Amino acid sequence: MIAVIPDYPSWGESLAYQLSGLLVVLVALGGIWMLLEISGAVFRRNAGVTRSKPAAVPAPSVAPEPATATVGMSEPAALPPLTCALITATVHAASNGRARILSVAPSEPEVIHAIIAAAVHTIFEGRARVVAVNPLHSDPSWAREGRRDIFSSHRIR
Amino acid sequence: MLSGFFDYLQTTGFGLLTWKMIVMWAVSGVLLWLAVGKRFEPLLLVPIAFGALVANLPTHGVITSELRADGVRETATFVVEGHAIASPDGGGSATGEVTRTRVTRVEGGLFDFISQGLKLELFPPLIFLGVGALTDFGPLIALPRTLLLGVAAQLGLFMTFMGAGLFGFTAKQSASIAIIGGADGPTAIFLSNKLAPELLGAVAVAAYSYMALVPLIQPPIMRLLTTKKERVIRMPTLRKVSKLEKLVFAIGVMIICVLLVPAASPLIMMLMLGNFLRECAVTERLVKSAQNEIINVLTLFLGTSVGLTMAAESFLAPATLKIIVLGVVAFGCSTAAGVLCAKLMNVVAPGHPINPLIGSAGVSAVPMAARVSHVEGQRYDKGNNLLMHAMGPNVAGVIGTAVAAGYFISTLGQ
Repeated sequence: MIAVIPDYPSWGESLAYQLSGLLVVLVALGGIWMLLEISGAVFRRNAGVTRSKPAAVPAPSVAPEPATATVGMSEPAALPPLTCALITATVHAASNGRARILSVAPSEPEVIHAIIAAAVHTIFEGRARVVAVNPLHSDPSWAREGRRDIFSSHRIR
Repeated sequence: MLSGFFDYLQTTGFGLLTWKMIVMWAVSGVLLWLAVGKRFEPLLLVPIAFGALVANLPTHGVITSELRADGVRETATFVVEGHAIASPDGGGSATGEVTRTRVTRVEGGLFDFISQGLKLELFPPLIFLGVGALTDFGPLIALPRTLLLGVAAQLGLFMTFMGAGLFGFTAKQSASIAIIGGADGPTAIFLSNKLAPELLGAVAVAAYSYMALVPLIQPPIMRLLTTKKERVIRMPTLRKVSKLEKLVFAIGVMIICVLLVPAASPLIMMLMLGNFLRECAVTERLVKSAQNEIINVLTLFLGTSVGLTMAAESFLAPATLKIIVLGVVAFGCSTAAGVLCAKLMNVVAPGHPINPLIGSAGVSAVPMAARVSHVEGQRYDKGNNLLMHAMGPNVAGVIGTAVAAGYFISTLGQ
């Protein structure tokens, strides 16, 4: 299968060599494509089964409590609950009507951004806008980052 | 006293300067201006340019280079001195068997040792570890058809192989030049170091320069080959890909590629290891290291080591100019092939339209090529977000270029 090519190939040899190379790339990526189609079909089917399962169970009379985002404020009880992933954000209001998020727990970025935007809108009643979202590791305080690492490395049993 | 001063002057480096060195200072200056002033791939061009400047100064204790009998200048050589240890029976090794040596002295400059990472082909695969840890293969998994665009982009690479032959390069050199079309710096360095180390400096500079110039080179080709109607095609939102699916992908791709092109194993296995670490979500510290410390340190060493190969005697040659020209041809052909393949896919399967602008992202240059597709798409339809769709062919291009490099090494590396 391996094409042997001289140091200075002729046009014909060069063309055959290139076609052979393209074929190898095509077979490799084609194999990956096939793998993806098969695994994709399996995962989509499984996802469909998982989604359809709850439909067979009768709905509870009381809706379950949504997970809530905690936004650091003096009166957290006054905040409406936000349906979201587990996240903790600290929001500091600035006098110019801008909000800067100081710390965000790692999770899916899109979800975090949506939650932060919703939280800021709710807290400041639309008078503020998010200008920056900084992940914790960009915090200049090494001590604080170290503490966070230590805490997050221990699972509470 | 005056004679002592003049004696000292003879030990300085002024007498060793040549006009070619000074020309290379200007070349380094241009590269530094592109990197610092224009922000073109500064993370790599700064170390390369700095290394190139140092390579053209009469330094001592930085790097050693010597002219081999075949006319090729070899860099990063160091001296190991020792003496043979007598075997217990007092005899020598007349049969050519193992001889034991006690090393008494190792002499070399700083980069004689650091550059061994380049000569022994350690840096490119380790950089691929970081690339894998930084890359999300989700868009490719969600839309596997875009793999075809990654294949098409390799067409330019093979076409350039033919063109390089016309310029008088050998097959090995042609392969090293053609890989520039893949727009994948570490792969270009890996292949060039294996097949044509004498061209390493020029190939690396061309590869990274063209990668930096993606926003300038690709858009005109994309506009030339597409109609306005095609540029505003909107593609459906990609499905969400589960964690397990991404893990299966990493393992599956590694097995397929290693089985098919064993010569590409170091690149592919490190790419997929990095990606597996990222997606498994239980090795956060390792992922952070791969994404930051490892890739940063290696980029620094790789760039500087490449720059140090750019001594005037080897770089200021007609071959360098030919490589620069062939590199842009390779890059342009790869871009055009990707766009044309997307158009062809629309003809074959009109029910699943693909915006041809994402075809250009089939060259690697992650993620800049994908960003160019996105920006170009938004010029004609502000609400058309092509970035994630373009990431599919973009990462397919990385795999495709590594496979193509593996093919070249398998067939030409003996």
